[in-house]
Amino acid sequence: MDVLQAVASYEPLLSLLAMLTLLLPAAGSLVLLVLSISGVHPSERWIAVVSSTSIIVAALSAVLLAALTMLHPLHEFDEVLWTMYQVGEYHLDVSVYVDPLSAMLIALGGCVIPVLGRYSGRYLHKEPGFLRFFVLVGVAATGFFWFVLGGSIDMAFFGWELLGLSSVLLVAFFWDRPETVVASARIFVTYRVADIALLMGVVLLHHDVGDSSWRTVLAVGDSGPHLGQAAATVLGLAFLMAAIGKSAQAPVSAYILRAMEGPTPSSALFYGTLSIHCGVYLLLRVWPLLEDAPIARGAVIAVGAITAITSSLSSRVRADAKGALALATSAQAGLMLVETGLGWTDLAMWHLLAHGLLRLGQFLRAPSWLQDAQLRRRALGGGTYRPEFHFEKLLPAGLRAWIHAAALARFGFDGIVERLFVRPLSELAHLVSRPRPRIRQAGAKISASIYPPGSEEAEREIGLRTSMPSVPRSAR
Amino acid sequence: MTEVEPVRSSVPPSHGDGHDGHEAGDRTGAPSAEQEVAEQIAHFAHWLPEQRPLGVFVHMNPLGPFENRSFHAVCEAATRIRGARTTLAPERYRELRDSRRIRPEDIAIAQKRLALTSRPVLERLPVSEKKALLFSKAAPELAVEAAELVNSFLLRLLPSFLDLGSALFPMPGREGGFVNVLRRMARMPLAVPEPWLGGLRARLGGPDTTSLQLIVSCLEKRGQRDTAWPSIIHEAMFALPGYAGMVNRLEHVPGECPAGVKVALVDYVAARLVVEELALLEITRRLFGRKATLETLAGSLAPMPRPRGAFWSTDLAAFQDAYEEDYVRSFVGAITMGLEIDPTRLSDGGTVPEVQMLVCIDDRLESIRRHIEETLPSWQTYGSAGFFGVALLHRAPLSLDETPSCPAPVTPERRVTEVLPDAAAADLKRARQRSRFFSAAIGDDASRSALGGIVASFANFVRAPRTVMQLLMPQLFIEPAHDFEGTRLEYDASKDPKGFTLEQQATLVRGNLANIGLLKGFARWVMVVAHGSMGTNNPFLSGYQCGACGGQRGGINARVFCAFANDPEVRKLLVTKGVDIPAETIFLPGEHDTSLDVIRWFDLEKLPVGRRAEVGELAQKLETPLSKNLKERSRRFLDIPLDAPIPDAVARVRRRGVDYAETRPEYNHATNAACVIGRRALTRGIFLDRRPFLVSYDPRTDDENHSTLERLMAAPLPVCAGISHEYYFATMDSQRWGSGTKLPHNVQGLLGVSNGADGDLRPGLWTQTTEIHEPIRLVTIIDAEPEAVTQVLERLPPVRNLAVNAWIHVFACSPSGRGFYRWVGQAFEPYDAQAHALFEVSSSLKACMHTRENVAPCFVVGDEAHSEDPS
Repeated sequence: MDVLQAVASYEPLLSLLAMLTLLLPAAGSLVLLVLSISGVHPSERWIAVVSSTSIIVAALSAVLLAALTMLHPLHEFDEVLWTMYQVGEYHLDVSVYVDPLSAMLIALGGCVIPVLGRYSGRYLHKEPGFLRFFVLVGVAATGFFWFVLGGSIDMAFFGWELLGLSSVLLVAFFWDRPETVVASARIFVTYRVADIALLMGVVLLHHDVGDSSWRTVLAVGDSGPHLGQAAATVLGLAFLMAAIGKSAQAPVSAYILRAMEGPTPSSALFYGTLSIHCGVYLLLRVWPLLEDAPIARGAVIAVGAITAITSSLSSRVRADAKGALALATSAQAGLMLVETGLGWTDLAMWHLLAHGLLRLGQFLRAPSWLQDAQLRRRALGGGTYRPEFHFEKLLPAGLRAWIHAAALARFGFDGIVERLFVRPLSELAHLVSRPRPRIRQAGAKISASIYPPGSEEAEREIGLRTSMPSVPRSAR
Repeated sequence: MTEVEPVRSSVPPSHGDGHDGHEAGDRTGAPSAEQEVAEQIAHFAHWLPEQRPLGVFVHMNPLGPFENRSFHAVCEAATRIRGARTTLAPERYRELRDSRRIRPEDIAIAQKRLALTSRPVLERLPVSEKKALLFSKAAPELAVEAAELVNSFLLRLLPSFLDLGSALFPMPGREGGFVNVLRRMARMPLAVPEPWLGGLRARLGGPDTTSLQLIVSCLEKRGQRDTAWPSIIHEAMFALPGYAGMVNRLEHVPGECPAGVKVALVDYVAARLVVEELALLEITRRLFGRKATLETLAGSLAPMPRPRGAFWSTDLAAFQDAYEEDYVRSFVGAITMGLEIDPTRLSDGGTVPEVQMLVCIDDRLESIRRHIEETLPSWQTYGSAGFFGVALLHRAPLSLDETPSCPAPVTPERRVTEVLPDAAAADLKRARQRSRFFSAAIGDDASRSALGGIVASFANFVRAPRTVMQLLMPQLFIEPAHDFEGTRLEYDASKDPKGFTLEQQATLVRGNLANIGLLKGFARWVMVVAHGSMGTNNPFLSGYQCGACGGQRGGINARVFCAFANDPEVRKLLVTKGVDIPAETIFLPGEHDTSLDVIRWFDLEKLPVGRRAEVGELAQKLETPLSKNLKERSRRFLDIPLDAPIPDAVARVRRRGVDYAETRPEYNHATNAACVIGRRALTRGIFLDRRPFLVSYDPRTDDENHSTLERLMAAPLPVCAGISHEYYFATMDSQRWGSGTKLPHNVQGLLGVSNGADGDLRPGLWTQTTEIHEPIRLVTIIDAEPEAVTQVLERLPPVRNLAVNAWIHVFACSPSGRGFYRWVGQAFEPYDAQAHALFEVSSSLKACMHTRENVAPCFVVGDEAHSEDPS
């Protein structure tokens, strides 16, 4: 035990582990990118080898780092790895901060990402976007570890951005379908709004606290600088807004449904396990700031409770596998916000860990939905897939019908978002694009060079030589 | 063949059925608007996909209703109506021509033939007038935007409305039909939050407005009756073909419909048209201001509909015909060669084989039959549709469900119940109670509720290690799917009024034995081996099971057939029917797992004690062919090296069946291309690369009227053709006839799959199974005189349609040595079959283990020295 503790106190080792975790997944992606750009088309096998080596080593280092930190008597590891630049008081560091909260999330990510990598390597076999997928998984892993392991909120923000970017690009994985592109654009915009909120929080923190390292931020109130009630409230609300976007809370909860356009493992990675919990984690992280801001806490509880109720009802009425799972995930994230707002941070932390593991399995087994239903039918002795009774049966018929209809329509939240954000944004886009025909023409030219015009004309001249007139295709 | 112009909207149908409840119209002779619309919808409905709900998925021709029309004409029309490609891409044909896979002379012949035959243009839509409001006439952005509004609304409701039991909280009030559900919702706050649907309630009217009335009122606002309506209905029905098709299917097959739900296609079309109208109005207002009306939009539309993306031409058709000739030549050539080399192969040697084995006609079983005969030359295999002629309703122990276990078109009336001994039944009851409780309290169902989710999350800690292990090391979890071991079968009419009488049992046994021509010369063992497939995380699992058992595992049929055939009473009756089965002959039921290549034997405890031990020996003998079969299958999987040693290949193929991450557990019917109805002697010893369905038929035991041939052509042949056609079209256009890649699939309402959470149902085969398929219409060879086949076809109009309209290639191989005849147009013509140069190889594995591509037929000469292991 003493030996272990000695190892745990040996800081160069811990720093090395942290460096490996922070840099390796990105390095793996970079290697793959460079290989593909330079015209080497690595085989699936090699892509998997590069990607899984970098990710597995990073994940193992992360888990080891977390475990060693927990063995350390202080349960804490805080180290500046290097300083990128320094201007007067301000310095931008690459640093690590591990405490029981981040250790737990690191352990979750460290276990889940390699498992998903292994799954995806088989699942995506022969897919044209195989390399792209693994590059993006590397980016996601980088983002996740920077977000969780980073010693300052600046680093967390960087990780947050990478995670968002990779998840949007993975939703658009099958970009030849218009629905997919529309869905990923929607998620991208939602994430941007959340990012702006987080950025506001970062700026305010710099302004009010003067330092962005977690150590300083977490010491607020105890030994560090004092924040006023108002500043804490504004900060808390900014972080809440960021969490709403990332963790699919009301009123934007429905974006998580659009996110199901991606391949199954990426849905599991982002919307079942990691990304969806990052908003909750952010609020848990800044809990010391929230503690003395009752208004912000109240808002966190309210948003969480509303989401938990509406999303779980919407999940119960959904007839599809991934949609039901996605909304149920959003509902649980809502409950975690409630727990956080109430100050039950330990419960929220364990809930997060347990829930991440649960959804991982459920999302990856989503294609078994029908087989599971058949097993359930068998357990019921046949005749029906579902027992006659469900909780809503206790309600009067009229109310029940209303709740069902409203839950199916997701309680009109989409409409609110549509009116507040989407319509104004697309109006703006129209306004910008309308009076510039030249730009549009240029755009048309570019797209024509990418997509050769009129597949039909091209097909007519297929070199098959038309000896007789072809039949009119369209209605004549 | 009389080709009639299809019913157009303005032409009333000539036959007088279906004129029931409609007022007016009938008496004056001109149909009322409503009647006309109803006919138009029913007419287009034939073009909708007809896939069954996932749980009972079986393969079928997506253009099945048009088999009475010429193949190429239907393809051309389908290209327009469905907007889906029905040929390969021109570049692909060019490649194939350049690689001599398509021969120039074949192209020339095909072009000449196509030029000579008149091809009627089916399904011509009228040219709509300038002002008709069609989506296809709007600017692309506009059409997309409007369609997105409509689709997102409908796709939110349809899965819940049609749900078979996926939602925990099902939609109330579904018995009133879709339009009434909408009416009710439109009255409730928040239920239809879209602002542009504000007018929905007023537009839908009261419950006494019928769907047809609604449709007519929508159509009237959008264009002229004879020029625009058909096009508008066409657009509305094919905007979401998956759901429209499913609605149509559920309406006509009440057994597959969720209980108590009123599903009707006209309801769907009415709802769609109303919502379309409101969406168009919204778009108009956005473009032209609040006061604009639909006329404003109509005035601004382009005059002609834009042609669709998919393209068809006679040249492409000629290339396709020529492409298929290549396989026709090599396949027919191989059989010719076989007959030339060894003219005696068709005459029986007179020796009784050591074991006779009946398996399904499935193309996947061609290879296992070959390996068995190669390794165990004294065994004889037969192919019989995998339900072994016993159509039955299967009732699992302690279950209310009666699952049909027979080919899709047959409706079984007799029932077989599995009964567990009392102790086991009590155990099963308790296990089920536990599983119900866990699912509801701490399992997946609980995880969808708010508080239940917390419980489920923490309870999952117990389950998580197993899940992670299974994700990482699936090979530890291989256990052949087992239903219920040790059950007793109850099928006797004396105990169950829906059971089989003794007479029926004897008739069924004789019928199936006559089909395969096994009426005398029984071996000591007759194995009856059904098949099924182990798989996990696969929504299409039932498509991998036995098609002849309606997408179920066929074990129960094998058990029932053997129970009949082993019954001394039945055998006594059989003697009076001319079949004398020796007392020492035992029928042994089994089930072959095509994914794991394992055979499970049933009802061993019923065997005489002395013979029981022999089963172990027989099973031991089968190990070698089974593992060789696995090795042969492994060559199609890119991740298993071609030179992997047999045990390694075996382990890696088997692992696929239990791996959650595996999208290609096996390749299913992906290599199907041909069908042989005839004696095994025609094909025995020829390596056919898992491509033909092999139906056993012996022309020598058939009667004057060829009634056995009639049975075989009436049932298995169309099923094989359906499988071939489904693969054909899904390969041609994987996005529209097929369901695209499996990776983003999401199970909707236990009905089908969609991309993403809210998408249209995607019927058809997925690219992970069509990727190695060569789209070829089924090359059918029948071991009978051409006159006999012609006679039989006359009696089977649906099958004759297939031949006459070129949906399949039909050959007759004369048993009296007159050679091959090919069906051309209306009759057989002599076919000059060139013996095809073939390689001789010492074993099947030698023939194929050098490549992952299709292999042309080879002769397996069965080297005496057993040094053929390539490993």
